[in-house]
Formats: sequence, structure tokens, C-alpha cells
Amino acid sequence: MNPYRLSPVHRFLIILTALLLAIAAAASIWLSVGLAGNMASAREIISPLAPGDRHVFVLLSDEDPHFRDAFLTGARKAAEENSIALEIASENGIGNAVAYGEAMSAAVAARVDGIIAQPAWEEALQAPAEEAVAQGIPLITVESELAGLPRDCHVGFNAFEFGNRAARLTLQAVGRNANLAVLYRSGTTGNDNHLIDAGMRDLLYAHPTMEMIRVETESNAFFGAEDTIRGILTESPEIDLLVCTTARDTVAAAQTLLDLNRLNVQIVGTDINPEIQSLLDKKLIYGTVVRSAEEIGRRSVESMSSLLAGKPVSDNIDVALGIVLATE
Amino acid sequence: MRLFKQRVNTIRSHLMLLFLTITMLSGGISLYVFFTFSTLTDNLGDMFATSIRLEQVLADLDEAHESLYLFLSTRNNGDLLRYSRASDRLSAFSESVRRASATDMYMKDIANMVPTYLQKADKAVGIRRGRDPAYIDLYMEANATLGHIRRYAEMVDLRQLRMNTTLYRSQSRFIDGLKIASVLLLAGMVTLSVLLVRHITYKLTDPIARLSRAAGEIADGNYDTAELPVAKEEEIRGMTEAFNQMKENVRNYIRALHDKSEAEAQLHEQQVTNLRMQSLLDTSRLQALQAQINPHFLFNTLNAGIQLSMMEGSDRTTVFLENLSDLFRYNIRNPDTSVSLREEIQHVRAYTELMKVRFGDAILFLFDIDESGLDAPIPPLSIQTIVENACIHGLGARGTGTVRVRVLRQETHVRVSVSDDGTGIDPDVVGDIFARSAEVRKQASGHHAGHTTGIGLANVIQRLRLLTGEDNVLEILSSEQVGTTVTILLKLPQKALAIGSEQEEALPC
Repeated sequence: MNPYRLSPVHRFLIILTALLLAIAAAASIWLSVGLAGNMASAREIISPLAPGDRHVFVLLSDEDPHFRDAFLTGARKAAEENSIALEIASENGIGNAVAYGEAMSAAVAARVDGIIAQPAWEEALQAPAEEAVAQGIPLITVESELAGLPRDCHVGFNAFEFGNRAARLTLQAVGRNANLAVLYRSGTTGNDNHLIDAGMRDLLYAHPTMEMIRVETESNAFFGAEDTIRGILTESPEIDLLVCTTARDTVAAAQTLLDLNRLNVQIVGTDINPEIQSLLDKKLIYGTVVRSAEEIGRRSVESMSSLLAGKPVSDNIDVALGIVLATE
Repeated sequence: MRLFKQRVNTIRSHLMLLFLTITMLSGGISLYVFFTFSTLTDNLGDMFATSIRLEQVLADLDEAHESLYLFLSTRNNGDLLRYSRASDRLSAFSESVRRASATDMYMKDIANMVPTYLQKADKAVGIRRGRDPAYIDLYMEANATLGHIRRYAEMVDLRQLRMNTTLYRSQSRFIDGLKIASVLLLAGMVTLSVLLVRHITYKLTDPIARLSRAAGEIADGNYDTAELPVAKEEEIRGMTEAFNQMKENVRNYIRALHDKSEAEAQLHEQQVTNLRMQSLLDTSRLQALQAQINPHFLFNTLNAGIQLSMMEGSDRTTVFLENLSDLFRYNIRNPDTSVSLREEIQHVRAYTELMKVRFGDAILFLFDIDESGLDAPIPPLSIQTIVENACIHGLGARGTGTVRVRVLRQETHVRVSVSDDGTGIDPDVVGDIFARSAEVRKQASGHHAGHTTGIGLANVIQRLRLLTGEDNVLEILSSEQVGTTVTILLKLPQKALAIGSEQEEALPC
């Protein structure tokens, strides 16, 4: 045996020590990498603005969370593709006029590159919108129109077409001889409401036996919608179908019918989300007219990008409407 | 490749590798710890940098707004100056954020709101100077903008707090983990270093220790130790191989010496045996010779012959036989004992008388004797042998000539020379004689048997050397066809020198 070779014990000790050293080193490096990752993700909280990015302010109401989430999904995808940094006024949306107005004014004061707003309170939006126009900040409204608001572009849905489709669903659901109540959202969407109404009547005028009641619900009062609907069904028990022009009202109507055990009343709703899908599956809703919030979000950011680049943009951009039936 | 391996397998390279490994390990760990904690410290700074900056901005805004309000209220220039300074600071902040390569969105909003605020405030100041009441609306607008800034600052602070909380948690976990990892790293490094140092130290010193022990064994005379195992390191391998080789060489040398001494002992023993045998042989020969020629019978017979010749009146025969008897009597002496020069000359005279009878007047013998030197000791039959050679070899070919015997005293020495005018001796033969003088027994074993007494000149030279203790006791001068002179140098004994000096003192002037 070569006396100058390591004894097995020494060799084992050296290997073991080297192994422990390697493990300790690997653990240190793993910890460092982990820390760097955590710090990077922590810093993402700050929403860094990279050089060259355009800064666009997004102002949404808290009325329809699903619309808001889908809108932001589409908007963020488009923002990433167009080097736009989105500053969302509130992830949960803004629920009152004062906060809405202040957020808009702050955006104007911050001299953002552009503003995308979902009009909710006309009085809160008018002055900041005019200030934005005065400072050359492009303004795009989404989802609902506001007459008289100085905006550069509107991205939403064709309200008249919406009314048409709702009427079509109504006819499919109850036939030509029926009593229906149409629930409109009050507040800033007055223009849309008129167009929806016009669209419905346009199709239904040929069926004079159709009786249509127009009802307005409060924008941000969920339980208020239930009360309103309960009131309608109580006062007008002959109602065969409810047409809801907001997703919130659609869910509220279905819940009310269930509570009142008035399952013979059909519902034509608006938009699609997990709750509405569940109600469709249970056939508590006949069908809905779907506005693609994600598409609205995407198109609004793309339009803003074009505006900021100085390219011409259409005054009104309508996204396609869809129909989802309970049987599907 | 072999050269590379030689360079790598050296003590120097191993030590350098060990020190470099330990240095790199400890340096690496130290660097890692340094950079890690440096990063942590920087992050810590980052965590609060924004808040600190924002705090300063808000303080400047508060000062600007307060001084604006005071100026608008009182039109005090001091307030205007304060407002102006605060305004400059705020403008600088706004510019720095705008110029930054990447910034927080809210910070950018704040940075953009500041000029908006300052624009309105400056307008209000301008209008106030002109005593226009419209400054109040502008102040309200500026106030509203300030409200936005404060709200955004709160949002930034809140977000910063969330970020800092996350960062703090991450860093705490990291530091906790790093503490354990650092302890493990340090412990591992120390243990590994100790093990490596121990291994290298033993690996390097063990061969030297073995070498030292082996050298001790050899110093104690034990050459049968096991061969040392060869290490990989060039320096130690060279030493070990050289040591092993040296040990083998010493062992072989000792074995060779031992064998040689055994051989010499055997040779000596053989020589002693040969000498003994030669002695025995000589003794036997002498005894044989003596046995062959019974001295009593010989001398009695010679005496009878002498008486007969006397009775017959043959004086010459009587003299011849007497000389012959003397010759034989002198011949049977032990050749290793010395006689006086006087006796040797007497014997030579007797020999020459016999030669005269054989050769007649063909050879003339002349004697020139210094009596004062005749006490010098000389081996018997020395001069007689030289005279004999002169007769047989010097004059033998010609058959006639003169042989002169001269004895001359030279203070403490006596020169005895025998000259002949014969054919001379070849120089090679002279050299041969001196060369063979060392081989006495060979000479004595009968090289010239037949015509001589059997004791050659080489034998004479050797016996003279033994007697006098001198090497140069005999000189041969010879010229071809001229003659030969053989000279012996003898030393006078102390007694003879003393007597000689007394006689010199006794001599009349």
C-alpha cells in the first residue's frame, strides 16, 4: 500500500467536508437568488416607468367588477405590446363622484400622456375633461357615452345594436305576446339608454302586443336593484320577461326571481361572468348579450397609442356583440 | 506531458496549490459575504430613499404653500423669498425625476404635479402683485393640486411600506439563512483547510522522516533495511531514489570489500603455503643435494685425493683439490646468512684458482683489495656469482679476457666492483635481471643451472637488499663489446667503523 495516499477515513472526511461546503455554498447562492427574486417582485409594487413608455391613466367605476377585470386584462395586454404604462386609478374601481373627479383632476395635474375613462358621473368628469383637452391630453371614453364630454374617441358597443339583440332574444324567449320590463342603469349612461331603448323598439315595434316598461336602477346600489325588481314584479305581476342592461342587474334579477319563486319570468341579461354563466347553466337566465370587455380594453389602449403617435383614430369604435344562450 | 507531470508533482507546486486553494476558498467566502451584506445595505438604503426624498418634497411643498399663503395674505417679500427658494427646490426635484432613466409612476406624477402647482402658485403671486383678486381662485387651484400631491405621496408611502415590508421579510429570511450558511461555510472551510494541511504536511514530511530513520539505521551499520517507497514529489523522489541507490552501492561496496579481503586472505594463505612449499622444496633440494653428495664422504674423498697428490708430488693437483674442498665447504653454507667480505674474497680467490685450472691463461683474474673494507657483511656467494657471470656470459663467447675484482672503502661504505672486458650485457637483459630480482625463488630454482652454482644475479640483488635494507645496492654498467662493471655498495658495521677511526687516529701524521 502506498504510504503516501490518503487513508480511507481522511478521504471520507475530506469528501464529506467538501460536500458540506458545496451544499452551504449552493444554499447561500440559492438564498441570494431567492432574495434577488423577492426584491425584484417587491419592487414591482412600485410600478416602474421605463424610459420611452407613455403614461396613460385609466379611470374605471366599481359598478361591474367583472367588466373591470376583463377590461384591464385586455388593456394590459395591449399596453405591453404598445409600450404604454397604465396607471389604474383604483384596482377596485371608484365608487363615488367626488373621488372620481379628484382622480381625473389629479391625472390632469400630473400631466399624464393620456386618459382612458369609464364615464360614471357626468358632473365629476366634465371639468377635468375640459382641463385635459386644454392641456392637450387625449381622452378616450369606454363602455358608455357621455354627451357633451370632450373626448377624442369612444370605445364601446353599439347601444342601438345592443337593444336590437336584446329584443331578438326577448322574442325568442317569450314570443310576440308578452310583457317585458327593461332595466336601465341610471347615471351617466343616459345616452346609451336611449339608444338601447331605440334599438329594442326598432325590433319590437312590429309586435304591438309587446308591452315594454322602462325602469331605471341606481348605478351603484346592488341591493337597490333587487328592491326595484321586487317592486316591478309586485306592481306588475304580469311581467313575463326582464331585460337587464347591466351585468349587475342581471344577477340581481335572477336572485330576486329565485327569492320570489317567480321562475316563470324569463331574463335577458347583459355580459357574461361566472355568476351569469352559473345562472345560464341553471336556466334562470334565457340568454345574454355579451359585450367583450377585454376587447374594449384592448381597443381603447390601441386607440390611445395611435392618438399619442399622432395617427388618426375613429371617433367611435364599436366592438362586436355576442349572444350566449342558456342552452349553449 | 511527462515534463508537465514532473513540474506538477513537486513540493513547491503542491504547497502553492494548497495555499492557493485555501486562499481562494477564504477569499471567495469573504468576498461573497462582503458583497451580500453590501447589497443588503444598499437595499436598506433603497427601502427608505424614496420615503426620505418624498418627505423632503412634502416639507418643501408645505413651506412653499405656507409662504405662498402668507405672501398672498400680507404681500411680505420675506415670504415671497421663502416661497421662491422652496419653489426652486421643488423645481429641481421635478427635473431630477424627469431626467431619471426609470422611475416610479407615482413619483413621476408627483414630479409633474409639482410644476402644475408651481404654475398656479406663480400665477397667483403674479396676480397678487397686481392687486387682482383672481389670485384666490388660483390659490384654490394650487391648493387642490397640493391635495393631489399629498394624496399621491400617501399612495407612494403606502406602496413603499408594502414593498419595504416584503423586502424586510425577504431580507430577514435571507439573513437568517445566510447566518447558518456562513457558519457552515466557515466551519467547512476551516475543517477542509485543516484536513488538507494535515494531509499535505504528512505527505511531505513522512518521506523525509522515513529517510531520516533509514539514514539512522545505516549509521548504525544496518544495511539490510527495506527499500524506501518512492514518493510522487520530484524533490523527495530524487532524494529517496538516490538514498536507495546509495544504500545499495554501499552494501555492494562492503560486500566487495569483504569478498576482496577474503580473496586477499586466501591469496596470502596461498602465498604462505607456496612459500612454505618452496622452502620445503629448497630444503628438500638441498637435502637431496646434500643427500646425493655426502659432505663427509666428499671431504674425506677429497682429503684422500689431496694426500695422494701430495704423496705423488703433484703440487698443482694438491692445490686444486684444496681449493675445490674450500669451494664445496663454502657452497654448502646457508645462503641467507651473511659472511664477511674477507671470507667472500677468499672464496672468490679459490674459485678463480679453479677457473685458472680450467681455462688456463685465457682469463686473467686481477684483485685490487682495500683491506680496511673487508669487514663489511655480504651475503655468501655474491661476488662469486658476479665473477662467475663475468666468466661465462661476459667472456664466454670470446673465451678470453680479464676479470678484475676491486674492493674500495668509501668512509662508511665499501664499493665492491667486478669488471670484465667482455661482450657486455644487453640493456634489456639488465632490466630483466632487476625485474626478476623480486622473484628470488624462481631465479634460485635453476635458471642458470649447469654452469653455475645455481644462484643467479637476481638472487644476489635480492639478498643484498635484504641484508642492507637498501634498494640501490647493485649497479650494472655495460657497453657492448667493451665490457661490464657490476658494483656492489656495502655498509660497514659500526664496530668496523669504530676500529677504522681508531686506526686513523693511530696513524702518524
